[in-house]
Amino acid sequence: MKLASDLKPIADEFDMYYSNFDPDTDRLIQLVSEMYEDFKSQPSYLLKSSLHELLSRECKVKLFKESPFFFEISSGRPRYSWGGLQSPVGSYLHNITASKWLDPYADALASDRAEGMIHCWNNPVGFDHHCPGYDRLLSIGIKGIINQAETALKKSGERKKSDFYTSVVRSAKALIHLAGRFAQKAAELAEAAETETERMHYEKIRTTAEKVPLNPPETFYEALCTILFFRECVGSIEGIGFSTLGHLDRMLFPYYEADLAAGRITEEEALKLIHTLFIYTETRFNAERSYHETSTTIMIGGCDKNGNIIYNDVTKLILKALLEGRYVGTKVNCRISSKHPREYFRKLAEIQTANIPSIVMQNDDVIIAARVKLGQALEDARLYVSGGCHEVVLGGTEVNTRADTWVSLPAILLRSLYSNECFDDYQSLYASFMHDAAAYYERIVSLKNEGEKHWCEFDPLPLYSSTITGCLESGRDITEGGAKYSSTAISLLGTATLIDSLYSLKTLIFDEKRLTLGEFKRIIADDYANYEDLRQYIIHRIPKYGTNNAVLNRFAANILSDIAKIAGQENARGGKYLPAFYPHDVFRLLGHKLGATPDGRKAHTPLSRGASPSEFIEINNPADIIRSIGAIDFTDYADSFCTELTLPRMSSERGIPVITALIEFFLEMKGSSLQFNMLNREMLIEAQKNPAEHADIIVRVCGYSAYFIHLSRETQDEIIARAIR
Amino acid sequence: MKGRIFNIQHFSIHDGPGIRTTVFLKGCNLRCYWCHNPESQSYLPEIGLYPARCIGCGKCVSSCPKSDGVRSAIFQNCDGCGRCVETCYTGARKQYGEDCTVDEILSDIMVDRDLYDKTGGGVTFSGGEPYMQTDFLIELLTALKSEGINTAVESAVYVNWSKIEKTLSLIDLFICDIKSADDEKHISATSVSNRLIFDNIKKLSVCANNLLLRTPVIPGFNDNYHDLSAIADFIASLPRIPKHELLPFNGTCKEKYKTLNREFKAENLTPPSRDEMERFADIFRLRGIDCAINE
Repeated sequence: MKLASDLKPIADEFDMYYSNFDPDTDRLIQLVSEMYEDFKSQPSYLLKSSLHELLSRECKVKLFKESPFFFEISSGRPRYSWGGLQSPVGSYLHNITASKWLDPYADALASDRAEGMIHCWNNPVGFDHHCPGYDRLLSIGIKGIINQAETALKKSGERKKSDFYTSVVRSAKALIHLAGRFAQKAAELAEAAETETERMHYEKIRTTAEKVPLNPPETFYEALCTILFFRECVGSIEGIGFSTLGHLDRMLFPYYEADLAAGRITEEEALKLIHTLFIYTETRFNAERSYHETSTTIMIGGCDKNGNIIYNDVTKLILKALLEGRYVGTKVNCRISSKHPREYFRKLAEIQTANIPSIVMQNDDVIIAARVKLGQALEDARLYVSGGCHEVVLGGTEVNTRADTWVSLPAILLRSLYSNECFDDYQSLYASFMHDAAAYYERIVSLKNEGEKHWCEFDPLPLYSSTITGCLESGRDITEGGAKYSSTAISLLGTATLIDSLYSLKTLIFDEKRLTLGEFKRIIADDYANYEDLRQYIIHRIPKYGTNNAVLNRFAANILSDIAKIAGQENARGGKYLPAFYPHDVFRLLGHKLGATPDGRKAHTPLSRGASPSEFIEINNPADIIRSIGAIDFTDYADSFCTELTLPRMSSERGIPVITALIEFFLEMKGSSLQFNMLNREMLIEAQKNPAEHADIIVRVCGYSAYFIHLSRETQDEIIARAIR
Repeated sequence: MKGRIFNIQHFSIHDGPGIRTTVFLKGCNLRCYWCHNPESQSYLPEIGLYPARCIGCGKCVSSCPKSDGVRSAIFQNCDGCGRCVETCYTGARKQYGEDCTVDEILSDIMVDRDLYDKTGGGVTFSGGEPYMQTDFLIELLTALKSEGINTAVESAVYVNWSKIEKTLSLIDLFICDIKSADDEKHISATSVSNRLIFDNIKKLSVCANNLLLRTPVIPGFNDNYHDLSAIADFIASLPRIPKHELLPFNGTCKEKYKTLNREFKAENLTPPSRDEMERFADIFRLRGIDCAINE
């Protein structure tokens, strides 16, 4: 983080507060448990509203002298969390009632988790990486939601639906009460203010908190207040993880334009508000000093529901703030498409060459097409956002539970190999693997469905539901499948490890007949001990995914097309399972639990990441990675599929045209998500410690570039020293 | 026609504009003691050994027609036949020097055609001294120009002007080293006189489409006001003043010397600091030369 002098006081104040703050957990848990004893016989909807009412009354509200936003409550939510299940008070109902539905899930998967087949939370239901329907909130306000629910309640005859509508009305009113307490607090602070500036600051908060989120916002500032208040407060008191602030430039631009026209705001003032948003995440999560997952994403670019390109002055302000502040805590996910102007890509390239690794690019041309292929409406698909990292959700219409379960395809392959004596040919080996992969996926689906069908009984989410299309219309909460689209995604892992392993088996056993499958299995089980030359042969002489080898490209495309077909089952909310490949850092974790694989990967080392090639193979030309993914149809993967490119550090003069070209090339090759890695010092030091895991890092040495791990220790040290500059 | 190269590096972004492919031609007529591509010097094929990659499988020894059974013996009698490289799966043995046809090189280069077009990049010929294989170089350049691809050549220009002249219309960017204006020093450091080089640079400054001069700043050789001023004076006196870059010495190539079992005479030099480099650049800038520091 690098802040101009007018922004430093904001960071200092946040930092001071979060370094010493008391989430007040014990007192709140005590109050909530008493409430629970009184109301536990009530339907879960009404119980949840009682929780909301209690917390809206009891959570202490905090306002900042330097920040004009109102969102901070002591809700039992610890510093390094964004709400959801990490908020023990908001998720109280989940925590005390869910175990009987959830434990069977965890028990059933205990041994698979230990073996590294699967990585998952102790929970078949995804409480995280969600996006509330910000558009509805901005267009009708909480008041509009209450009106809709009350109207529906009058017409509703069914008990359960009436309970849902009642809970929406009660919880929404509780939320308004909470906003009112911010207004009251602001009034007190204005009264006690020592300077006129301070008094005006709190006075502005008071009038705003009285107006929004009850009413639709009318200004840029009010719209930001609405988004931040809902994300932070509902995330805390409803116990649901909202990992995204939504498609900000699309939503905010009309307000910004109107403010400018009316002379209500200047560009500098708008920029400062955006900086404040970034600084909040940066300081709350202490991003400068330690690594904490922030699960805070801003979506920019892309298009509106009619397909009009979004690249406006708010987009530019957000990118400007990122470039100025060098923020790492907030993930800025940038929707790109073949229709966007080059100027946009050049701005993204500029951020990359400034070595700010916080942005990801997501390809509208592919992701929207993938969503339409699933049967989702084009207008809805156009409003996708990413829920935390790369995983996609349609803003306002879809509830997608995911980023909680990862399945290791290489582990399934090994299991498949070890459970068969031999195969007549490669086709029967491949068929056996695909059968086992589909069967395993089915098993996880049924376990997840078994838990998820009870979701509404233990922890409904009326506030989240009230913003999502379909719920108020149908009288059903999102946990019952009320959303227009109710999806689930299980992420698969180890793309390149799987493809290279299958190709290696085909080559060694069936084409070259170098050894028998039985022999090879013993060698792998023994982690290639005494067979290092064979391993080296596999690594260096058998073609690998990611090197733009024509045969491998076709081979990979066929496998990924088949793998996509193992999803598609119905979930417990009437929606579908989507095929997905987003690795987060689980590729390391599952890799560390897995034995050696037929692609030459040693035991207990990472699997490959997303759509990227394995890290231990040599890539002579980073452009080959993009060409390789060009062979794959990523519209089969509606939940995105990320490719990472590691490039040498470049000055902006050199780097901007290069990165811009690569972004355009990626669009032409129809990749899904893209992120660059322009190297940093920490990464190089890590590479020194674990060279095999970082074989793809390229560095400029002197007259030439080289793979970092292949340099002598002394040379590496020198390059690390250079990276500091 | 075949030529001898020792590397084709794709996605090269420091030798000329845009994304480029650099083709390294083998053989050089200078012997600069700080040379960072020692494998480029001899025209004969050579084998390098990267001990960190060696798994001790012994295949190189058994495949070597000249080996007496001891691994190090390969270095002593090696004629660069490359059989050990074929059998070495790990890449511990690496061949420097391979004879390729123009078409073979072109098919490798053309893979990145789309990226050259997008970034204003192209192909750079480096070495070694590309003009040691002038006919081959001309064939390559001609083929690239007919495809409309941007070309750059890096040369020390210690060659007869007639060779350079034949290529000028085919080269978009001419990159040329200028190491010292003091002929005695030049001879002792590079083994050749700078007279021909300076004459050629004078001609190039008029005739080349686009000339970039580069001076490697070598501690103890030319890292002082006196030597750099002399170079700067020469550049400032040219009929058309070309762009200029200063390249700070760095010793990171010492590993390559080890793989070739060769002594690196500049091993213990300390690279100049960023501040020093800026002060050196000012020597050129004060004379109206557009000077950048290329790291």
